[in-house]
Amino acid sequence: MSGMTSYFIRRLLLVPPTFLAITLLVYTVLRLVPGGPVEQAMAQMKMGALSGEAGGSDGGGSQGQKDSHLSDEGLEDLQRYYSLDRSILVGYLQWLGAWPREKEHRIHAVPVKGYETTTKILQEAYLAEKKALVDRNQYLDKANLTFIGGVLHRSLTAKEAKEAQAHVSEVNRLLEISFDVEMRRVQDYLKNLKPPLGVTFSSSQISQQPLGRGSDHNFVFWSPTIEEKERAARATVFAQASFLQDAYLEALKARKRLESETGYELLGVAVFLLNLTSTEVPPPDRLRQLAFRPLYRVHHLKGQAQWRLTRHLQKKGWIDYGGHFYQKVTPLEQKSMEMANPAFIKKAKTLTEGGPGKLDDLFAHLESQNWTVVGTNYYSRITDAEKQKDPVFFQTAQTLLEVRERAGEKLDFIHKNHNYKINSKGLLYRTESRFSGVLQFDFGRSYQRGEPVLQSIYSKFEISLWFGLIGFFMSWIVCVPLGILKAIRHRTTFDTLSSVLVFLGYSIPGFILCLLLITHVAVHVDWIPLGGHKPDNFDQLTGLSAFLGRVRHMMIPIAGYMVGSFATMTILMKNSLMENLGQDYVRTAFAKGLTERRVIFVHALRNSLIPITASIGHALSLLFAGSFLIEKTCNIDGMGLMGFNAIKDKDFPIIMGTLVFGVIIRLTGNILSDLIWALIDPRIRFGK
Amino acid sequence: MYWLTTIFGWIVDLFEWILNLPWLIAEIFTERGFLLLSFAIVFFASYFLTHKIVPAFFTMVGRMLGFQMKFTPLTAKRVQRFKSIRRGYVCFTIISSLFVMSLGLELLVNNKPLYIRYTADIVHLKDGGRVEGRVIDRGDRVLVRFPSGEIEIPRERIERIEQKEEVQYPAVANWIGKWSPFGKPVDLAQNKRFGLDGPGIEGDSEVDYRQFSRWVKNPVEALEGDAKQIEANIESDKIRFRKMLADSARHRNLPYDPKSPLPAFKLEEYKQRRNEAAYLRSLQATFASGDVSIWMPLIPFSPLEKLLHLPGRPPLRPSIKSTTENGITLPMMGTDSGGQDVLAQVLYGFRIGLAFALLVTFIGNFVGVLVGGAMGYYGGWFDILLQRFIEIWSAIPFLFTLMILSDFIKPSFWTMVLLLLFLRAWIGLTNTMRGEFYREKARDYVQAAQAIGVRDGKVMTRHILPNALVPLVTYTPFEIVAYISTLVSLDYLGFGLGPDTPSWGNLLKDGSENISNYPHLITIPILAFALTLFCVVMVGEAVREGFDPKKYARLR
Repeated sequence: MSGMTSYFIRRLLLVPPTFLAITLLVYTVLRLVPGGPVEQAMAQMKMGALSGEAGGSDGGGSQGQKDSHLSDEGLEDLQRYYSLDRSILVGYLQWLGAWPREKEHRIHAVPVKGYETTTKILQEAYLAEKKALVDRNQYLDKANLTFIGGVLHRSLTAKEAKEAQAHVSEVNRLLEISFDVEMRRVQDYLKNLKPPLGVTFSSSQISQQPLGRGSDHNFVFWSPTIEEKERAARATVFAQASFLQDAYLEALKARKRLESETGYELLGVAVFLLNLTSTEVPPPDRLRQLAFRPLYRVHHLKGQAQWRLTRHLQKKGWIDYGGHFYQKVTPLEQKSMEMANPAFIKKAKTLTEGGPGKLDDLFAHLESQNWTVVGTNYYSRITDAEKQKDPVFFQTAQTLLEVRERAGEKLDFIHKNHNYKINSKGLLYRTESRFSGVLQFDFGRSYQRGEPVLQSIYSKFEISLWFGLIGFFMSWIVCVPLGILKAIRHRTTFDTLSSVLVFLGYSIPGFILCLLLITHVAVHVDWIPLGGHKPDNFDQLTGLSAFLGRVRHMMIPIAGYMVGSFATMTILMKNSLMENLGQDYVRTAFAKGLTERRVIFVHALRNSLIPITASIGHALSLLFAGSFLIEKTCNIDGMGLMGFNAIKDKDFPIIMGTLVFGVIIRLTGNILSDLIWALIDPRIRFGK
Repeated sequence: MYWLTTIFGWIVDLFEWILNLPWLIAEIFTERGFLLLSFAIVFFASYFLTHKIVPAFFTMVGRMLGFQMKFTPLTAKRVQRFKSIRRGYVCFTIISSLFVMSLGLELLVNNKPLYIRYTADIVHLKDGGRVEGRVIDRGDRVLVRFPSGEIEIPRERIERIEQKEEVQYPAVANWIGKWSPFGKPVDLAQNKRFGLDGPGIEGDSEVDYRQFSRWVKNPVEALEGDAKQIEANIESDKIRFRKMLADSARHRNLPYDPKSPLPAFKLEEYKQRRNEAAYLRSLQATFASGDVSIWMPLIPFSPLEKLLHLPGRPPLRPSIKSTTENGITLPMMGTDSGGQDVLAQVLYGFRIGLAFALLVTFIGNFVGVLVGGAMGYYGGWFDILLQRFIEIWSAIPFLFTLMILSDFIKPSFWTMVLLLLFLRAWIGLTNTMRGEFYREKARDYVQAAQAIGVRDGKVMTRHILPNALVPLVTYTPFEIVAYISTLVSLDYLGFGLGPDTPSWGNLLKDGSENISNYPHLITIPILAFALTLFCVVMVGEAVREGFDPKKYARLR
């Protein structure tokens, strides 16, 4: 028996290398195939951009821009998810789970001790402060006043404003990243001007208008010098302003005090508590605590800059893309371009009609004339002349753009160094390196279906298994008696006629029989369906009608499954019985005077069933392999059809998952087959 | 009750069909009898070529070179036993003759003529110029008509009028070009216009030769009919265009006067078309005089040609009628949804499928014998490593991987052959041959050969191989069956040779999308497929019985 054991051990040892070799081969091929998930995602997003903006609504510039010019961030995520940014080998190992893979985990709001109450207190304080601020600002706004550094300022007179205007571009240059820091720099600049301008600067705080109000003035300059005369004339106004200012400062102080008392800080709009002093934070990760604050700040800053930029650009109908500003091409401009460069417009039009596949070419083509496209509208880059026409507007936009981009860089920096990330919706993620692959039973997510691969396979496998098993047993029921009959009546008319049937069965693959039956029977007979694995209203059916519904749907596919193994199985049965009937033990049995019936069915048949029984294991793998064609033909929603569709859609995770499943079934089937054979046939010795 | 009536209805239908069968057969023979008879003749010619002439030729050449050209007694006995199984041997002759016949399909199924002769009038002018067209004598002036117009030339400017005969063999050129490794024979078919500018074949710059053949058969009526058709088209187009003008005028609330003249470009177009009609009429004399002759192949369609000139929208159903009333040839088995002739595709698909399977089988077997023989003969680490490798390789889900690879490579015929060889075909025989060589190696005659110093290569090829050939011969037909089905399955799934190759699988795919209305798209290729495979299986069974007979002793 030891030879046998070592044989099976060898077979089992061979399973892992087989598995690795096959999956590596297919993975490599899949990686080389064009049209993977990333390209598909791009095509889809571009398609959305082309069709979604068909109305070409005005002012939707930035929205459309997001659609048509893909966010690189999203694509990178996708690439990382499918390991496409790694080499093939590393990608394969990641898929296998033998190489760490970067995965993002959502960090939920931290439920610390007393979270509810603390948040409530803090939120109340925050709202009170906010209300005081709004009240103050509304009042000051009406009176053209503001507080800067605790000192009341008034708005400029026309003359003063004109003088200050000359310095706007310099102020813009100074305003770069953070308004907190740079504003101080601007104020220093204004203070140190020679001759002194007597003016200071602030962004308007009311209702978060983009840096300034009015049509031309983008910054509001305020004069700190309020003359005695004016002070007397507007005494009540000033008094009210001071009162409101005090109320605001009070609220501010109250909030700060509450924060220091509770040890928590309320971060902006996001309801997120931070405790920088206490050690109570559930994940005791110091690094994480440190990372959060800048992360939120910068994220907030980026969002604000983006929002302001959008609002700002909307005034002139501009959009921004790739660090440049664009404005919509008017029909007139388009016409003139058509006259000047007809080939350009013509090519652009044909590329546009080419659909999403041509969008890259389209962008590249338009770029040659500094154009781009959003939805159905063309946009052209703002020329230098246009920039000069309204330098203030342009400078502001440029500043905001830079603010946004700096913030983006900072976010990347944090992500790179601290593994924390914040997405566009303000949700926090932590990227972690961990092993997550097939070895950890993580097959990934289907690209097309969006559900985990294992779940898909599980649900489909059940359907396939039903068909395969029933087909297998049905062919046993038909083939074994037929084989026996053919053996008993060897070289009779029955044998010859059934041989013709057997040969015909051998020359017709299952799916062809299904096609034939569907075309010539199912089309004409109402109660045989054309496809599908169960009636549409299966859930409402009960008892007998449900069963019959199943049976009706199974008839044609089962016939297909049966014909696949019909010929080989019948002949195997026949030959095996014939062989046994020529053996000595049969001769002995006859000599003993047993009846023919007893000799055949008790003595010979038991031995001749051995090879057929041993083929059960192989049938397991056939069940999987043959099902593509039949499931496609009969439209059965099983493993085969899923694999077929996955190949068509280039759905990597599903393809690999199906493959793994197929290989495992096949290998176990082969080993099982040998094992069964060894168990039921004591004569068998594997391994010399 | 419902069941009974249904079944009764079927029985009545069946009876009706059986009763009508003689008439149907008679109709088929009157309409298509010539075609069937011709095919039968070609088939028998091919049978003689395959089974009489070629073997005789090779035997002769072999004898001249000094070989015996006789089977060894054992092989002769096996072959005799194979031949004695009638059904297998008949299937073998049928399938081999059909395959040889299919090698000449370009001569039987083609939209180009086997032979075309055409006489053009060439007017040589005194100043050295020349005009080609139909010459009509008008006394002191000569009218020269060509499809796009006509010119009148004063007689004094003409030096002479030459009648030039052109003879070409486009189908033959096509056939030779297909098989000749030395490029295409240019002088057999120079793609002349034969006095026609069009109407050409859709998407093809060539002349529609079928029209030519129609005109040759019945010059007066066919040409007159075509000319009249053109004129009728002009009239219907006029009505249609006027209606369109009226509609658009009404749409803009403008009055439209139906008597107003048509726009200039339309008038120009009509003039052009009338010219064509006049030209067709002027051709009558030429075609009637017998200066033009043409032989079309038996089936005048190419497999990938879209037959859009036929009446009705594709797919067309099979038709027993051979021609329409205008004399346009109708495809016997109908067309698929792309308008391509089904019969031509089935025939060409037969050639491609069988050639594919034969190639894969023979190359695969060759590699199998080579590798398996070496493994069995040398043994050792080489054997063990390769055995393990084959074990791994054969666990690959074959069809699935093939689909993935095929989707990636988009294979042509030869890459597909390579793909199948690479994935599966070479393994097929390797294990068996390994066993055979392993067993034979231990025999005395091998040791004797080794003892007298025969080299390994010679021992393997001259001594062991002839004794190990039985599994090779008996497996081959079943491998052919497997590879034909593989190709059909791949084509059916859409991962095969692609739409530019005529194949059964493509037809099945097309048919499976038109199940309820056009069953012929499924039935015809399946019939061809099943019959072919049935024949091969029969051959395989007979070969197995002949070469490796199982004698069962049976007691009673």
